[in-house]
Amino acid sequence: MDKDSVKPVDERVKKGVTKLLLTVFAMFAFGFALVPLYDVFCDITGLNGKTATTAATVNADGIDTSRTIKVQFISRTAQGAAWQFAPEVNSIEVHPGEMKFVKFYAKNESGRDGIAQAVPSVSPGLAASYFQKIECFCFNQQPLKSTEEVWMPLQFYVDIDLPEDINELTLSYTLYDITDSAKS
Amino acid sequence: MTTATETLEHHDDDHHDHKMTGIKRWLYTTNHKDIGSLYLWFSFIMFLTGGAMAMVIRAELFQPGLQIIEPDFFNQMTTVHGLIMVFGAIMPAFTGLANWMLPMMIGAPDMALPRLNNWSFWILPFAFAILLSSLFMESGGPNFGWTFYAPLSTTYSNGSTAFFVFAVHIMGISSIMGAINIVVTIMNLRAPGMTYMKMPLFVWTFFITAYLLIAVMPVLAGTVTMVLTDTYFGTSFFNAAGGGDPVMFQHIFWFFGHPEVYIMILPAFGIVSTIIPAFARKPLFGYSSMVYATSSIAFLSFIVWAHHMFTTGMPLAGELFFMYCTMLIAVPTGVKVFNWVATMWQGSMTFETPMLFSIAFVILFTIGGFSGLMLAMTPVDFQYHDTYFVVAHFHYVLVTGSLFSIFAGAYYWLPKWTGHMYSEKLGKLHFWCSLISVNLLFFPMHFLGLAGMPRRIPDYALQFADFNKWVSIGGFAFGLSQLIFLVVVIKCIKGGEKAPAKPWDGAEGLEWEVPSPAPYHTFSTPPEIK
Amino acid sequence: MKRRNLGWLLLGSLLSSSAWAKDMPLNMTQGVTDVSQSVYDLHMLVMWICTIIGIVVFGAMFWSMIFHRKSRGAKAATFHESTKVEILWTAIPILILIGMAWPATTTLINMEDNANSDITIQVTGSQWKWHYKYFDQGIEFYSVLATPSSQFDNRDGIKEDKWSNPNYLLEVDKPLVIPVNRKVRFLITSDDVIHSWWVPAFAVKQDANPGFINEAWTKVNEPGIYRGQCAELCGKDHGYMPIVVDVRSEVDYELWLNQQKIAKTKAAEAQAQSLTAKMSMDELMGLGENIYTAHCAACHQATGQGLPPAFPALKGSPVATTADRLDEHINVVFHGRSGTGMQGYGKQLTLKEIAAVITYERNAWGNNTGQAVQAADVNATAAGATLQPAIEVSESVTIDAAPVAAAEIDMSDLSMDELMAKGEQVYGAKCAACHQANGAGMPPAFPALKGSPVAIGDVNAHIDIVANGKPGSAMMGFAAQLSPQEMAAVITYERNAWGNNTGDTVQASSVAK
Repeated sequence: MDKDSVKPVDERVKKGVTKLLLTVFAMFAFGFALVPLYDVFCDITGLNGKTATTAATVNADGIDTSRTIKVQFISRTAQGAAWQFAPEVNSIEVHPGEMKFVKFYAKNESGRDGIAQAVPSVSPGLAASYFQKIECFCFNQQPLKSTEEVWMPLQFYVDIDLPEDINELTLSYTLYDITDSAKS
Repeated sequence: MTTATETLEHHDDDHHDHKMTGIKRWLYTTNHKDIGSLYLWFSFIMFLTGGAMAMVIRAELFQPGLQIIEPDFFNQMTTVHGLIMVFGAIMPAFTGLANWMLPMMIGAPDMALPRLNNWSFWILPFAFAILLSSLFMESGGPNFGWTFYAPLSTTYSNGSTAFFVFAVHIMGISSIMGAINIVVTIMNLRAPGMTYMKMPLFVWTFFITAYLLIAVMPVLAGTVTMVLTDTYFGTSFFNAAGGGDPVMFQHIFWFFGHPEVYIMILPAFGIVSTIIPAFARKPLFGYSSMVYATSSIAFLSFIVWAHHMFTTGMPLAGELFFMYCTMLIAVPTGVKVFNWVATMWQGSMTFETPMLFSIAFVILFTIGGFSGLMLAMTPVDFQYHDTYFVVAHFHYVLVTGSLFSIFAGAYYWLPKWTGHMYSEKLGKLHFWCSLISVNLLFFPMHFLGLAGMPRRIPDYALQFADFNKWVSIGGFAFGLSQLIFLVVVIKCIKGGEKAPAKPWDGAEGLEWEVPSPAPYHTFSTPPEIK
Repeated sequence: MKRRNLGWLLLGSLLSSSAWAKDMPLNMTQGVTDVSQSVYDLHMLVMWICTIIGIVVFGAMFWSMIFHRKSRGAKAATFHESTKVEILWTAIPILILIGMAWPATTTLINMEDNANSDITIQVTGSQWKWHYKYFDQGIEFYSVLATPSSQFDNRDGIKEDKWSNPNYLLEVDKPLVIPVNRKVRFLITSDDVIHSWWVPAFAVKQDANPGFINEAWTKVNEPGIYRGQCAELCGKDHGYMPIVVDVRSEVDYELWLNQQKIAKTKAAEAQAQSLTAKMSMDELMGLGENIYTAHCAACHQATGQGLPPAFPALKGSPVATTADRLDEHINVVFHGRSGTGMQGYGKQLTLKEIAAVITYERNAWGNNTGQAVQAADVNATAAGATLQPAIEVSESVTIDAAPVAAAEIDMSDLSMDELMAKGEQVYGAKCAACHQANGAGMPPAFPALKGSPVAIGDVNAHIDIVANGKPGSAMMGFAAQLSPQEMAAVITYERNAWGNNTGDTVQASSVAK
């Protein structure tokens, strides 16, 4: 091969490699971008029953008294979380749009001051985006002194646009003891 | 690592002129043929290593009860077996074939980035040394399955996660460098006159595969990085307590994972599309539809990932979308199979070992495709998922698919590589032993799965005992059969009938225009393509 | 691997002839629900379609392999494309796929319809057991593999014959009980890693994800016992967490519910008693060893040496041997240790059992602390109090959380209205499940009380049945569960509600006799 035909090939190769390397880095970044994208995806499709982590606005669409939705509450403590945690009622019935107030009881039995975080999940997942929390203890970390007990508030309504075929939904809270990770 | 030195011993006789000798030749080589050989030997050693782990698994499952190993070690075996076979055996074998054949097929003197090529091979042994060494540590090796679902691999891991993550990082870097090399080589070094639609299908499939690798290996690297930081640095990507989500792990993993399975089958399509026309003495039927089918399979592979996750609790719309997309893959795959059959139709066929492996590939891969279609149906997948039916499915695709195509390719090009004909008698023996034992090994697994045996269990209910015994016998037989292949290759390197430049009268392609064995440097002047 | 094991392996394989093994079905189960039947039909449909396509494609292949071989003198044709044929074999598969997607879609829509269930059961997976909680009935329990390890662990030789156990590895101590013909909704979640709840006969397989809930449902057509397994790799003993569902007729199910409620009351009483009882060291060690073998030895090993690093040794471990780390020991056993395989046993074992197993761990394998832990200590520590190292003076530890201090028994007379109000309450809680709120019962197992000879006849006979039960029937005695006043009220209620207008008022004093 004479020198003239070698050079352009070299340059083309260089250009190609640069482009491909950029693609590689872009895809690496895309892997991490999937994390926020996943939340958007969950929000749209109701995947995994993730609910909003910030407060919703007060319902302004009125109340649909023609429908009654049964809302069940499940409370669980994660492994190693030496807390008591329970809702005051197992389930309540609400009309879409109607504001409800439910208290959850928690007591720190770990023998030390601690911080807990409740993680919500709604089933069916599709209903998650219609479950509007005005106030929820799950928005914040809950610090409790040893043996301290507390009633934690949840104020919510079910969006009036909840799909017709859903008449029962379940809200589960899992309470994690995050004392160690919150400190660091 | 011993693999490197073992590799050398079989390889000091065939090449010639101006090169270093001994270990330095192999450490410093930038020659695509040398690196191809290194890849192929490395993958064969990894194949035997992963195979030995499969033997341990099958020995434990030979009868119900815990006989030989404890459950945790069983999990390490299934995990490392999967990782080694996927990243250590199948993928490097394809890269090896690509290194050896691509420059010769497109009339190029070497790969476009020879030094990078050397580097991308030589980091591989380190990756697997790290992975395998963790098996001998107190904590034990990775035990969370090759799919390393969080939180089993993060919060609940046994301390081997860091080794696993770094090993995967290195494997990923190696694959990415190899893929970049393949892409720029194909794009820039084709002989004058070789347009894209004149490239052999083998080149096309590697071209598309390389793009897939570049697109998804970085995502895998991202996934393992998240696993690493979740395990050791307190992040909460996959930990519900910190606002993460373990199901998200599966989405990100399978976004890599599904294209990954096509990375392991598309090159196989290229190999059999080269071999079947050669032995049917008839041009490949529907070349352009093959190219389009390969591209559409590659495209579809990006939008079907969640069919691995139907039981994770997806909304109905999601399940339907992924079911339809997955079923759609059957169309281009069907086109390929029909094209191969049409290529054989009215041919003038002979049945040398490469052809036997290729025909077995078409039939058995199609069976794997059928079970894949069955798995695509979401409602039925609820019953198949995570049972031996799935194990049967992906072994039909990966063993009788990818692996058989690699054997076919190896037999097909051995004369070109070594300059000697391999022993047809031993080759056929290898084929028939493999064919019978592989079906004894994997076919009964379909029934085990349908009867309800979950995968990844070290012990099982008594009703599964008879079938497992047969499966284990098939497994041992298949493992032993592969030693025949080792004998064939060593004999072929050492000597045998002199191979002509073109030993197969129906073969086509530039690689047959150079003498056998292929000289150390080929096509220093590019050939003219009519 | 020891040579001895290989010997056993060979011997075992010779002995385990197929005559001993259970016959394995060769196809997917048709199951016992409408869903599982349609899943089976779909499976068969796809399988036959694949078989037919396979016969056509492979037939063409073998035809050309036989007739178009060079040795028969076949000359190769030269054709290499045909747009017509290629369009055809793209279009036909698409049509076939649409034909398959149609029934799959309808089945799937049906499977995902969780609405309007009759019963909700929360299913929680943990390493390596299942926990069931009946949402409205207040019943919950763990379900653990019942096959003894001596049957499956043969690494030191076969200790016990597994072949005579027809349900080897598919049996649990307490199966999930559900009624036939009722829509049961499962809320599935996990405490640690991902598990998957699978019962093939129902065609239900749903992942249990930690921190999130999943739904599935079933409506079983046939009573019977159905077995399944965890279907997602969840660590070491993934192969040892079976699922057993006992599907019963409605009557038997109600009966079972009642038995569970009684058992629950009894357990609470035993728990309360254990708080004041002081067990001897020997008793604690004996009970402790049993509990240890059943719940702890799988990971921490019978020798206490564990499987480090995932499952640390208890023998010589600082937590188990340092006197003033007893609190920590109790807390770890009771609540678990987050981020490790160690789960909390507070809900799985009684206080007495936990006390015993901790005593055992602190005194076995040369961990000679000499400390005897009592149920009251466990109760106090688990509720957040700090124990003094000198545990021997455990009697002096005050128990804040002691449940239900036995109140003064109220024997005072009540008015008719008070009796009826209280009676209705008690009836709703204790009797209505079987005898129904309207008193119509569910004959024949649960007779009507409305107009029943017992409820409108002799008062003393009525009192006797309510207090002591009726042998040979589902009617149990309530003397242990209800106070005399409550019994008086409920009897009064039964004798005056639903038109049983006897006008009788029964007082605590007459019941107490």
